[in-house]
Amino acid sequence: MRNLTVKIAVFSGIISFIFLMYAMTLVSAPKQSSKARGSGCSACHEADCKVPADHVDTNAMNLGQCLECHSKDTPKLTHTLPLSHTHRLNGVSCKDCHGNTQPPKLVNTDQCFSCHTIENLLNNTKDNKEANPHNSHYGPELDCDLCHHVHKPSENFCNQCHEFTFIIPSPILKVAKLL
Amino acid sequence: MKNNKKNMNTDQIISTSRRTLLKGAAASLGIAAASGLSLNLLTPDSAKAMPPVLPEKWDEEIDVIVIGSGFAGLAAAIEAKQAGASVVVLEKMPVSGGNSIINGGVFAVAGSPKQEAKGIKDSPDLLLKDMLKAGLDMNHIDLVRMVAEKSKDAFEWTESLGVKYQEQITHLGGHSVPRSCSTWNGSGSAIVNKQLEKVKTLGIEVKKKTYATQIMQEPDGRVIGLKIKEGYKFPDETSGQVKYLKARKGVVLATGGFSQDIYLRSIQDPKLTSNVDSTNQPGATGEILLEALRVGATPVQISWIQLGPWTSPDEKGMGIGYVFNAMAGFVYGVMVDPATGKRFINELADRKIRADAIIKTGHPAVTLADSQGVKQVPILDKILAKGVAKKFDTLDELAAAYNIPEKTLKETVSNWNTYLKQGKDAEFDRYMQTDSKPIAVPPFYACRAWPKVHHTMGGIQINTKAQVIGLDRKPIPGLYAAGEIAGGIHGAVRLGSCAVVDCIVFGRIAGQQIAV
Ligand SMILES: Cc1cc2nc3c(=O)[nH]c(=O)nc-3n(C[C@H](O)[C@H](O)[C@H](O)COP(=O)(O)OP(=O)(O)OC[C@H]3O[C@@H](n4cnc5c(N)ncnc54)[C@H](O)[C@@H]3O)c2cc1C
Repeated sequence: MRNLTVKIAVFSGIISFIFLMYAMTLVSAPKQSSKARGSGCSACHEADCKVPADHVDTNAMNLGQCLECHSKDTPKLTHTLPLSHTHRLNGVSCKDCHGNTQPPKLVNTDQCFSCHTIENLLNNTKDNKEANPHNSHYGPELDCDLCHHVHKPSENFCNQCHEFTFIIPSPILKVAKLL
Repeated sequence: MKNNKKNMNTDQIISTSRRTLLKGAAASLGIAAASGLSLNLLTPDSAKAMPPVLPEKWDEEIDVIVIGSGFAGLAAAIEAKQAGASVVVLEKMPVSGGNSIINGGVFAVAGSPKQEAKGIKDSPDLLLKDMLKAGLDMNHIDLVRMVAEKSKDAFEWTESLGVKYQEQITHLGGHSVPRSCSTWNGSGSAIVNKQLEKVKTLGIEVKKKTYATQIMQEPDGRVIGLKIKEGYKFPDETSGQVKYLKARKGVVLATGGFSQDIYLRSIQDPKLTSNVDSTNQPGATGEILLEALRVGATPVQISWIQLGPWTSPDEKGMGIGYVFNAMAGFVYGVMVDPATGKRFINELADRKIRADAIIKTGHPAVTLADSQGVKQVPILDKILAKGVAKKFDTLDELAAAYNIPEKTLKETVSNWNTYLKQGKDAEFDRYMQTDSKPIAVPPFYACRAWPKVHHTMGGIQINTKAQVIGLDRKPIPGLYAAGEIAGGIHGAVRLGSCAVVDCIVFGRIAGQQIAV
């Protein structure tokens, strides 16, 4: 009899823990708003208090201005902001990549190259001590999303064989992983 | 296209390399990538006994379909197209090049001008002899002769595509003379990227993330096309969209080996479980080999699986330590068993003899060379920086770092130096390099060696026209194969630098023959 009570207690404990975790994801997952302005951080991030009430007004800011503080202060946003955000903060809207259609157009590498140039990419990573991932044995023309994901954490494709330590910008903020 | 992109992310591929200890031995082995493991949990189409039903309608039609975008597949595609056929190359991975593009770029050429310049006497017959010796005479003689006779031709073909090679030639284990040429960047990518350039100028499409799952046959056995999956997201067997491609002239299987197929390789050799690491790309799996067997190809020596003796247990996969072992430790230095401080095998014996000998000691071996012996190692700084090879001022320090009895180690080194002076290795009769110097000038360098699964010699039977031979002993109409998927060329053991030449020779033959 005692055994059973313990079991029930443990069981309901587990259930409520799972529920709690679920509820937390609901609270902490920022909402997605396509109408939010690029720098209108609190339009999505208010509920989870990512942007404190006394934060300076972000509405007119671009990524460079964010990073003036956030590359040194916490939360550090270099290498942590999802690429969707860095694009948005640089004035690239959802429809610039995904078009105006419903469902949104899937994005391919050619689309990336309508703004980014191979020369720039090669140059940006040329001082990487381990290897220049943009000029590897696969040549410079790999698909971007082998490593760079826009709406989820990026990954180091090279590490399917290698053991590189360099960071791919920009692994998503931890909390947003719950999305 | 749309579907393609939807499945483009490759999260599953991200490495989950772990480290594990081999029972009773100090060998740490990187566990094979999780991708390989998960693939093994699913049953490929080929495992279903029922022959596939021909589609009512083909989605696309072309003369020649090549499966695989490595040396062999690209060589076949180029030749077939140049002979007038329309060609498509299918590649299941999100990148082209297979093992070929991660390969070490070392190419065996018998009778090259580089050898002549150095006064090295070589011939196709001598290469043939070496390949047969390593292969324990299990090689299919007509195939290996073809490779030996055409090695120079294949080499020159790559030069005609614009591939550049270094001046030096290397003496690899099992070869009786130095004959291996290295690409300018020490990587097979130098060849593959030129092949890909050629493929592009010829207007051949390489369809990545396109997974060939079934070979389609007419009732009489003729191969007429493939069932494929577009937008495939390796290794997710549920991903991708099914399509049927018709091949008017036939299909070239150039899908490489199966070193990363833990299920298949451990059936062939039960020692090769997931505890053993591999040097190969994660997509080196055997589903098309099995599919070829299902349509009646004759299997050849599938259980002969090669482990590379030069890899380091202190890094994942092929890594870079092998460069030290292959170019310094085994050639200008010695390899010792750290438990005894003694040599235990001819450091230039063929791969199987060396790998077996190391495994038999129960733990990684240590190779060492002095400052003169490492001169040929092109990326020494990188290997040292990674900590895979280490540098010491004295042999005592080296011995201490690897727990080797220092007295015997010094004896071993002085014995080797004596053999060198006498011009004969009295213990193992190892070949002496003409420019070998005694191991004496500090600093000393060392690196550990522990074998990893590297090459699958076996595969399906082909003839000298690269036609796949069926169980009725006749070519299966419309089915060709080249490269690592074909068996018999290397017999029991493949010699280093003989895969590139094999792939290019038979890839080109397959392309020429299928287009006829
Ligand atoms: C790290 C390393 C270094 C090496 N160095 C050397 C060297 O220096 N010299 C030498 O001679 N040899 C070397 N080898 C061996 C040699 O590289 C290989 O044997 C050779 O590259 C095989 O070429 P291939 O064209 O047969 O297959 P691969 O180059 O492996 O290409 C096969 C392709 O087929 C694809 N594929 C497989 N199944 C399917 C399917 N179902 N659908 C669609 N696509 C599929 C694969 O993803 C792969 O891209 C090395 C091997 C490795 C792993």
